[in-house]
Amino acid sequence: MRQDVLKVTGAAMVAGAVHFSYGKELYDWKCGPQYRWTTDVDINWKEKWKDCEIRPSQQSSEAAARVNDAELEIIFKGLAKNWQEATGSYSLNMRRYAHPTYQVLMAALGKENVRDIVPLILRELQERPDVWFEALKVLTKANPAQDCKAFDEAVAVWVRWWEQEKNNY
Amino acid sequence: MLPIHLEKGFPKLRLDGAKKTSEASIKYNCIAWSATRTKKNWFEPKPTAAWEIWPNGIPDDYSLDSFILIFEKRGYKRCTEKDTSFEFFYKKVAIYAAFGIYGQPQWEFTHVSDQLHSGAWTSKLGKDIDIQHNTPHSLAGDVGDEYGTIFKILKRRCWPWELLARVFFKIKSHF
Repeated sequence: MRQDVLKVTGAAMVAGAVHFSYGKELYDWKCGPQYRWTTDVDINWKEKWKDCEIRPSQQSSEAAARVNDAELEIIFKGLAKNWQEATGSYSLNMRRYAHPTYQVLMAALGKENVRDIVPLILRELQERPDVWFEALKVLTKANPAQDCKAFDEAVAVWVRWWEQEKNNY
Repeated sequence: MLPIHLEKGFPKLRLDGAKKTSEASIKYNCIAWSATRTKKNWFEPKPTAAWEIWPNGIPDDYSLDSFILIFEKRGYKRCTEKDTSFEFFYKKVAIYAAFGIYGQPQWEFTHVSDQLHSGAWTSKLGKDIDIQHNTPHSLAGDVGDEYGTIFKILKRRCWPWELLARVFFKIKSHF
């Protein structure tokens, strides 16, 4: 049983790298200065994570400039795969959203890079349908699919909406 | 045959003779499956999409009691013993829970499976496939992706047509 508690073993950097352990797994994730770690994700299950400790480090962002779009895609795909494998058998979406990897995707990787991350999420959504809608809502602060009655319809609406709105991000 | 990732995540399933009974679907979860046999809705206490629903009158606080209440409202009674054996006149469900998975010192709901009229059990594994397994214990544990412990067994009297189904399986088992 994986324990859904995020433990920061190293220092979380405002820009540079985030190191944290999750159960037996150790994450070592680098990002650019534009991919700032923020903890102000407005989600109603955040309360469950109040014990998480994520501190900006004093280190400089040596790795920052080395991250480009291709690397961002690799990081995203790695995190998405990790999240899907780790949580695919979870019975509740709340538990899946609360997984540290999903939180990293929303808070750290995506929040400051909506324009780069949303297309990656939409492509992932089409190739491997999953509950990415909450991440899309948080990142874009929009919910064009709120009236959709079916999953596939919601995917199509999000793709169409992004084509029209992407220049606003 | 089970997919490899499930054999890895739930190592007891293969020994339990588990088999796949449906394709993976993100449209419904174990609660929807065991409570209503629907494949159209995902039961989530705080729904965020139209295909996610939560029964009226059940608290949406994600507490373990709320998940048990769903089944109590459908006529199930809590058993004092964790007796997972087949009782001809009763249909059973197994509620799984794990302690402290959200960082709070309390039991949290993780899964539900229910007993078929043949005596086997059926489970929808998250957004993955449905499986049929011989005992509910094969999904319990804490080695891989298992759902923790069988926290509570609930049972209700079978409806007449359910008894007929059980008679059928009883006769079939003799041949």
